[in-house]
Amino acid sequence: MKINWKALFSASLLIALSSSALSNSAFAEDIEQPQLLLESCHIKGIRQQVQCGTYSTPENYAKPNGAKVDINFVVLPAIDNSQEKLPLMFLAGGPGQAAAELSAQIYRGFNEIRKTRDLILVDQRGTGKSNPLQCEDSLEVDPYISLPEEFSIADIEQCVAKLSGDLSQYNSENAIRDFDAIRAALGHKQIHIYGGSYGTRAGLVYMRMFPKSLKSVVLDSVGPIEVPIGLFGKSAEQSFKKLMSNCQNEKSCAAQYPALLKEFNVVVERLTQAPASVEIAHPRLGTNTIFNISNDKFISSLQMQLYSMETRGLVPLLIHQAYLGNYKPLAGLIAQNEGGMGIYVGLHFNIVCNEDLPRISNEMKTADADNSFAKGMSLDMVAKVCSVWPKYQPSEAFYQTVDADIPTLVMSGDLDPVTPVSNGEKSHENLPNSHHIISKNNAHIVASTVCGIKIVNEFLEQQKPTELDESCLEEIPAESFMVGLNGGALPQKTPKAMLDMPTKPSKEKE
Amino acid sequence: MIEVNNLHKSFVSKKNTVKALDGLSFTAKDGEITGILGPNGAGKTTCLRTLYGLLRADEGYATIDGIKVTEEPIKARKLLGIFPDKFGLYERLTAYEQIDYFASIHGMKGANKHAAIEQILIDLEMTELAHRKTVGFSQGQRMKVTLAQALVHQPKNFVLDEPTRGLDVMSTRILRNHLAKFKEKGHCILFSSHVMQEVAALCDRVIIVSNGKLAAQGTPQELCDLAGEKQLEEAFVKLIGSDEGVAA
Amino acid sequence: MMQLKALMVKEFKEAFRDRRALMVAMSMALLMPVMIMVMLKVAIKEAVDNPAVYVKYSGEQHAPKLIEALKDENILSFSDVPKDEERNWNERNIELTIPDTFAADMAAGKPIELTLRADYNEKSLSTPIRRIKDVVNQHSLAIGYKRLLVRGVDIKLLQPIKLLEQDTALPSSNAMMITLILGVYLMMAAFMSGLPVAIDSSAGERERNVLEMLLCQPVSTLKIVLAKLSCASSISIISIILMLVLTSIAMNFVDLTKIGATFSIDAQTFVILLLLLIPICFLAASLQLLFAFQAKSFKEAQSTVTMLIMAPSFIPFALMMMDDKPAWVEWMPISGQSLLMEDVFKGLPIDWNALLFTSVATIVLTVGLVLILAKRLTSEKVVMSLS
Repeated sequence: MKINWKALFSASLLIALSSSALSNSAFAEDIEQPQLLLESCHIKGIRQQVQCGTYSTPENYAKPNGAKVDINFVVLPAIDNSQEKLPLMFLAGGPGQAAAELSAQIYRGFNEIRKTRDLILVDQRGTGKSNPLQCEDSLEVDPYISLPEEFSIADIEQCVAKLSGDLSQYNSENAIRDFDAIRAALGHKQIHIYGGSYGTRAGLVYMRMFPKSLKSVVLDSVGPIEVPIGLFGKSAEQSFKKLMSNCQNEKSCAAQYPALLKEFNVVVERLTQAPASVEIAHPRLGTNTIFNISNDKFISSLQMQLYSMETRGLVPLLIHQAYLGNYKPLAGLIAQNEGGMGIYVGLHFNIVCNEDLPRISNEMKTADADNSFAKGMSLDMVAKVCSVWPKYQPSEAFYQTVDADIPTLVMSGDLDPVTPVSNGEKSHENLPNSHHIISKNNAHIVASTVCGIKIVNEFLEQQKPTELDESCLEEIPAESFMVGLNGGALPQKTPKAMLDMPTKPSKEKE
Repeated sequence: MIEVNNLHKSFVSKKNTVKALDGLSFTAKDGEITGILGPNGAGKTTCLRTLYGLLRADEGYATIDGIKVTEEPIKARKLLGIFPDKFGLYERLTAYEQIDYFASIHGMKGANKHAAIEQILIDLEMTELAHRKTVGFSQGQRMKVTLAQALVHQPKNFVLDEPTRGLDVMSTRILRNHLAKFKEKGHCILFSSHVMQEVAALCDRVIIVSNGKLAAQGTPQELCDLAGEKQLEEAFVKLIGSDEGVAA
Repeated sequence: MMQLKALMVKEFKEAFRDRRALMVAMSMALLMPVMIMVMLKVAIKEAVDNPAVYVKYSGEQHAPKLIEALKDENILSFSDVPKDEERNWNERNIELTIPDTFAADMAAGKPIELTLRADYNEKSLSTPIRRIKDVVNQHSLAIGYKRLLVRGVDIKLLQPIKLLEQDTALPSSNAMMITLILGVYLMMAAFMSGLPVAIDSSAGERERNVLEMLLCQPVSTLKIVLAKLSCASSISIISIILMLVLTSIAMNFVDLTKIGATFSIDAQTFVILLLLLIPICFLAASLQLLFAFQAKSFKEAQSTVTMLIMAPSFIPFALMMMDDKPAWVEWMPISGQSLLMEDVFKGLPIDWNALLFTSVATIVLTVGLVLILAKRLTSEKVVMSLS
């Protein structure tokens, strides 16, 4: 049986946002000399011209004359076309997101910052057009029929065999070396960086390795080195619990779903005993199809909805309908993710399996699995993949606590299912010149809101983390829920987003 | 001393060629007032402009105290005081400033310059005008300023192009007196005019120019004798051989 | 030397006593900051997209989430209108009627009809109306998408065709326009401020019959030209300094960040701009004198020399249109400075070599023009046109 990768990694994802944008411009394939080629190009989703480039770096920095990796990057030029302010480099999440593929969303989401600053988006090695490490979903895999837990070790081995390059070099530290090399090649003495999700991990590594290159740092929804990626059980649980209580605290939601938690437990109970199998009209084709739902499929779908405020509004309805035996809402959600989430699976597991999973002890695993939402689901699947993934040993320094004295803004969303406030607090304590902002009505990624971007922009201007005007956070509305199959709609912070990205009304932004 | 030797000058334009000077020669001696008489278009102004070095003669030369104007125009001009046919003033400057300006151009400075300016102001009876801006000055006042700036550096040679045009009697008298004084001091004075009585009264020698040539020269009396007329005017008409010039 | 000093003293005295010419010169300097301010204000007003709109709702209690969505776009209830704007919005009278059956129809999935009532002919209402329509449509669409999603329909089906647009135009922005215009304006100031003085001291003096007198004096024409040149260009330099000072002051009164513009005229920028513009002032003055002396009358001088002003305003625009700039434009007078000024405004590090080259080129050209002019003044042609 073929493997459905995206169902799989939903378990271990520190994803900032997703998109399947691909750059449309073509580049010369063989670039011999390691020099900067910057040319005007068009990126999907952006009407205006931007700048694209490639930069050759050594695959193994210990062997500068050895094999090369062509690192692809995009520069979104400042609207005022000026170089007066230092640019901002965006570090993508995942691990395994390609920053350049997020250009269109960042172009809009970071508009306030882009007014006066260039934005630099580098495809981390192993993603996008920087020698991508991808395991393709086979076309035969039907996301409705297949179940995430049904994959074999052989599928993974088969994928690994197809990957090119020395996998041990596709690690976080080398990615940062690439980023800093591009910074220098673009002629910037210093830059600002924004990391979201796994991007914060990258950002912390950057702070440790090249502190002099950084003017200031924004860490949004932090994955500190001390907290291995994959231990999401507890944080997902608290995020889910908050959603449940927010629903009960809202009149219409409470009235519509008075026994939601009980219903959730019933569905989980039911699906744990035996996966459900229903016949539905294929969401895209309209033909009849079988829809198999296991507990893992149900939970992982729910967990994906917890990332953003907009999709969280669907969760009560999803649970209630499942309780009533109607799995069509779930099918609709799965349909949205068909076509990929813009994650380069090969790179994702290459990093998670080597840099994070080995750090998780059995005790940690057990403690994390002791929760009422996803239990140990995520880690089990990741562990299965990692068991056959090629190994490398991250450097000793990699696990050092980062305490660089760089102005740093740490941001956390209180409802975040993967990078809880406690993560941000940890980094804030270690970083001497930092400030931790907690946004109450925010899930994963604070900069996904207008207010969040405003604060980031203000911070980049002043680089004084403690002197920011955070008042707009108070105005972010509380969660609101879809209370029937016909709406009660969610208040739309950015209604336009629905039109721009109908493929993903759920998780986009920023 | 001003010497003009066989001057030829033609103005070539698309349509026609005008011969303005056709072998004109004369000498204006130091200690004398020499008048140039001639009908309009006879070449008086062209001749004088050649003297200033503004125009270059096609043939012949002019010298000021022996210095050829074409060869060393700046040196030659230093020896000249000029009262041009059309004179204007810097209307945003005071009379004093204008005189000062020309004095400086002639290389005067400091107390010397100051004294010279004061002297000329007194000589021309224009002290009360000195610190007024020249805008709105009467023709006579303008003439005085122009005269002052031409004379402030005490030039050895003094050329005036129809200086009494538009002057009232009083101003004309001042001018005449001044010229007479200069003559006494041994300066060379050359001036062109239409006014016969003036020339007759003032000039030691008269040069009559017609069609770019010297028609006659001598003292006013000599000219009258030459023409056999009593009045200089009649003599003039006779000497240039037509009466068209006078009418104009 | 003394002669030159005397000549210059006189030129400056005259220039500074010529109120009209001075006014023209300085009005450029005074107008510029005002113009930039106005332009910025307009640009900012356009950029700040969401001025408050007040709508008279009826039945708003039936659709709290829609009202919330409207509020997010700064479309507010008339009941919240501030006192000073109340009369205005009462007159504009935008009404949105939400039917009593809103909630029930929503739950039942029936179409809901909202009524938007306003004077569609009223110009000032077109943007508010568009914004209200947009919010309602987006809100409606969002509900529609979700309704289909929870029915197990792939909502991508709703957009069968997606048009990807690629604009090949060079990105431009208000900020770029402003810096471009500032550059052109500075260039024009360099050219224009000295203009009345240059014409007055050349064609003007000739018309007032004072030039002949001067030319008869024992002074070289080169000195005369230099005196006039230094006077005219000094006036433009003063004007530019004044303009830069006033502009940098004016900049403090507008919030540029709103339109995504940054620039400030700090001490270094100030000096670099002056370094760039001073040679231009000399060049401009020499060109103006040359053309003005050439002209037959004061009037003619005014019209021909005014044509010269086209050059500095035309060249930067022409440069903008040029895709592949040949190397020579970088050191050619005017275009070189204009490119460098663009860099300065963009905050790029200044290319000192280019600055040196273009300055030297400009000065060499100026010297050439001065020599030509000095030669011209000795020619008979000039003298003949005196009378």
